[in-house]
Amino acid sequence: MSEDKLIRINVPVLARVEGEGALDLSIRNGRIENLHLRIFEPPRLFEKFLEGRAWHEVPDIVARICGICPVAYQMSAVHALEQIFDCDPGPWVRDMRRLFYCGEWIESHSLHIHLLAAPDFLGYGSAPEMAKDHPEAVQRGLRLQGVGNALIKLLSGRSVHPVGVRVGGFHRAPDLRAVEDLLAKLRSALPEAEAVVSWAASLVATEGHEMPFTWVALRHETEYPMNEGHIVANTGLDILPADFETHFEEQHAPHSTALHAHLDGQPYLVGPLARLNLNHDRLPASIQALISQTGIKLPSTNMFQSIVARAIEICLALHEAIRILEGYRVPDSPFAEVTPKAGTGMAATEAPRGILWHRYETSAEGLIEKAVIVPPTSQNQARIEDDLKRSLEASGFHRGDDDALRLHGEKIIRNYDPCISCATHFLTVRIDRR
Amino acid sequence: MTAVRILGIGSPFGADTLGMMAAAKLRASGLSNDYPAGMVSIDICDRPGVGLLDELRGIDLAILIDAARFGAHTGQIRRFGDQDIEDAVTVTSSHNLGVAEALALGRSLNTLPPVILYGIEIGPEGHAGATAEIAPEDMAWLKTAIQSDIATHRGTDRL
Repeated sequence: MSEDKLIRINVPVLARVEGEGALDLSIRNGRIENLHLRIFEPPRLFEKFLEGRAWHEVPDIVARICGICPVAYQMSAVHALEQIFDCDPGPWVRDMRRLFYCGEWIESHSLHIHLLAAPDFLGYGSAPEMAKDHPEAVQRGLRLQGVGNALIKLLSGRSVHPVGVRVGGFHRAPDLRAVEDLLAKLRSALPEAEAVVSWAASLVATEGHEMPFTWVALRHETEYPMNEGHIVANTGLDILPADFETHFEEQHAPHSTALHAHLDGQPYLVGPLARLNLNHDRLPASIQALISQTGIKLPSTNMFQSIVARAIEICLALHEAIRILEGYRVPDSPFAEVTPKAGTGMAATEAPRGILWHRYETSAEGLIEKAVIVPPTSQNQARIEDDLKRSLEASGFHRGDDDALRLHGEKIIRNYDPCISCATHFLTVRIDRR
Repeated sequence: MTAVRILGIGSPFGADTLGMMAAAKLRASGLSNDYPAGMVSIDICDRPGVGLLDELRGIDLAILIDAARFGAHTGQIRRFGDQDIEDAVTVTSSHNLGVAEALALGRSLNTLPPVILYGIEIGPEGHAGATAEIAPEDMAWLKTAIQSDIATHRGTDRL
């Protein structure tokens, strides 16, 4: 007997959203006939907003694209513009940018692990529900998130839509007392972050969700990547960020306003698990020892181990922030002077959710003539669809239990930490049986 | 001395700015000066997310003002007590917790003082492009209501 079952999952339109999405799923005779994840992608609007704006306005404008990863947007932008203007801001700015990024990774990963992903793994409908039974874990997540926010605030005045960044560096340098105060907080947070690694590993089955896929991340000669590096993949790809567009193809998918990105025609993953798979040899020995204790084997093809990758990256970011601040000095100037000129510049940095690629074309006066922004969520979109197809089919579609199917779908999507992930129960199920 | 914190919550965009605008008007009206120095603080708070819990630490009474949807006519201000807040759908961001969710988390963690929320209805079409205005009579009502809340709380505090 054949049974046609159409499941439509959509999201209510909300004001002030950084993203919205819907999943259209139709199942026929036990097989997926159509699966479309629709994501609304604000960066594409900002590409047009930027045209005609002056170079020095860009960091403040792109910081508004996302409330949770403004640092990433600012960093990719300033690197691309400095490339055009032949500006080398020097080692102090380089260190501070890494520090700035550490803050965003700590803040974003702590939020995702404790308030967004953990309820899925522990079987709760929301973070407040989970907090009743696991208050210590949630408090720990909030403390770590606060440490990340404090790092961003140190360099940029505030943690939401920071305003301290300029092309060439920062508007001001932190004073020594503020640095000393923050160092104490970072040191006390490190044991908590290490505890998160084992806790996160305990939430995920070490086996059972493996599947083949391609992963892509930056790779630096000596460091775990944040602001610099080649773009590499487990396929052997190794290119400069300037060559991104010749290898990665973006296409309009009719069902989504976000562009679908493919590498050699295939979906690919960016983000913490991709970074860890490609760069675990760049981690300090103490953090590599932590990974060994979890029993996780790298590279991992179990997407649910992304939560562990995030925990490991919190440790790495704290480790790096402490190292940088222990050597902190107040510079003569927190920025290098910039002289605008015409040209094209491209840069990729590692946002918490993965590679964020920017390209700008400027006029001789430094006005933006064209901007292209490729955010990680749209790059992961095809990979999420691929994961959903495989995982939902493997689940047997929960034998007609639509609530269970929706929850499973949400868990899979949220595991990628896309810009729609915070909307708890964002997938409203409407079922049409034919 | 009891500490009362009035927080206008939102963002600088469209109707979402209403909570922040109301707090700024209350501050300009000199509301804090009616009480002992340092007792009543009035601040604006740009999309605090879970950071709201830190903003309310060490406070004896929190009075929040935020754009919201609760099915009233646009511009109406409604008072929600501690137990009613879940009924107000405060405008939420997909990538951070809204006020109602952050308060739910705080209740689960037992870190919250008594909270009163004043929601300003933005209507079903309220969005970033909507005009943001609060009528003078609505502001006057809000100020009186908040003075009454503080008086009630001080009375309770003295018992």
